[in-house]
Amino acid sequence: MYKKGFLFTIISLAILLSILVFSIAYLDRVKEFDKLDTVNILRYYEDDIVSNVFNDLYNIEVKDIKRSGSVIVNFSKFGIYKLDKDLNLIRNNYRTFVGGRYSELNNINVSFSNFLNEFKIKEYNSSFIIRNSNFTMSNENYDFINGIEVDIVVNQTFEIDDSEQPSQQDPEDPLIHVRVLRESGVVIYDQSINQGSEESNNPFRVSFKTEEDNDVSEVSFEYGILNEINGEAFFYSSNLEARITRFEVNYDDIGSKVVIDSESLVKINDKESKIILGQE
Amino acid sequence: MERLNKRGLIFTIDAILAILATTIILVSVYSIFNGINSDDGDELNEIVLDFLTIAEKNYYLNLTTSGDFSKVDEFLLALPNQVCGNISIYNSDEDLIGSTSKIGCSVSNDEVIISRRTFLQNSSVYFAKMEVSYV
Repeated sequence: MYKKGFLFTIISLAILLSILVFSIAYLDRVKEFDKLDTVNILRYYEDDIVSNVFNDLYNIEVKDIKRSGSVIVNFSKFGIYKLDKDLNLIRNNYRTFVGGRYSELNNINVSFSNFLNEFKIKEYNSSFIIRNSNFTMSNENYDFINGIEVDIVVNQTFEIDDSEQPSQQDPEDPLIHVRVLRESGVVIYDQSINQGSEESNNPFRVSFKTEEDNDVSEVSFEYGILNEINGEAFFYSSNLEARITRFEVNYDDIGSKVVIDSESLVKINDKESKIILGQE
Repeated sequence: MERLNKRGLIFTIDAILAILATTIILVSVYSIFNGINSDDGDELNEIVLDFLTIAEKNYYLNLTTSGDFSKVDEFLLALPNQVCGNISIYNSDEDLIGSTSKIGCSVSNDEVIISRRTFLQNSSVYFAKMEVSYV
């Protein structure tokens, strides 16, 4: 009789304790999900602020990075260049709004550091600085460059006044291919020439007739020694709007992962995120 | 007789202890489950975040700055039947540019989930504010 009672008590206690343990485990699980929700919300804000920001601000978008014998970094958009565009103002307006009113409305704290119109293709050390009507590409490791292809769409409807055809150089040199197109898609300039990274080369240049004789309306892309620095590329537009709809750099395959990094940081509450334009 | 009294006393204490232990455990379990906030807003929150993300990435929000809400309207109609929603577009000075709602239902005031998303159009900063609720 005693044994039965004892057994009954033990079984009852075991069942009750099981229910208690199950409840505590369930509570822990729910708390974990709550934490995940908070992380999801932060990821949403990170996606909103960080992703695609270079496309939104500077019209720069990476199409793909291909590796087949060589490495090809391909941009489907590489900026809209015109004098009356103020990139610093656009960037500062965005930073002020996101760091100020947007943060208040969403009860978060957003801050930017090193938020500039610059980025780098790592590990090739190609650095880009984007400005209102021009950009510079500096290449510390210019020996790895096999070629650059640029498509420039101009809004200028006037006839070509003058164009420059750089002279052919050593076939071992990087092959620079520049096309200038009208908005309609008609190609008005198409030159493909090898140019030495350590040479002072003539630019690829197209000038347009304008109504005023003194106005210069042109686009130009040059590669080689610029300001006494080897392996530099420089593009500018003058008195017209130029959209670069393709910018492709062909590098030797050095085996390391390609990352196109702005080296800008966005801090949302305590979480820091890098602004990466693209990576393999 | 004295032996019977002892047994009765032990039985009583045993019963009281059993009831006490059972009560403590059941009260603990009840308070644990009562403390868990089964929030219906989680689902709405996911809907609003997904909606704004997709609307921005497909450039539907950019169209609204020139008054074209057709894509956003189509997208609102794709919300689950039991969910109502509306979207308002503001510039960075918080001036209302325009707004639209899912046709056939209006957002209730009881439990409204609100989220926002920034976007740029022609180098200007805008944001979309979306409100959703169950019908």
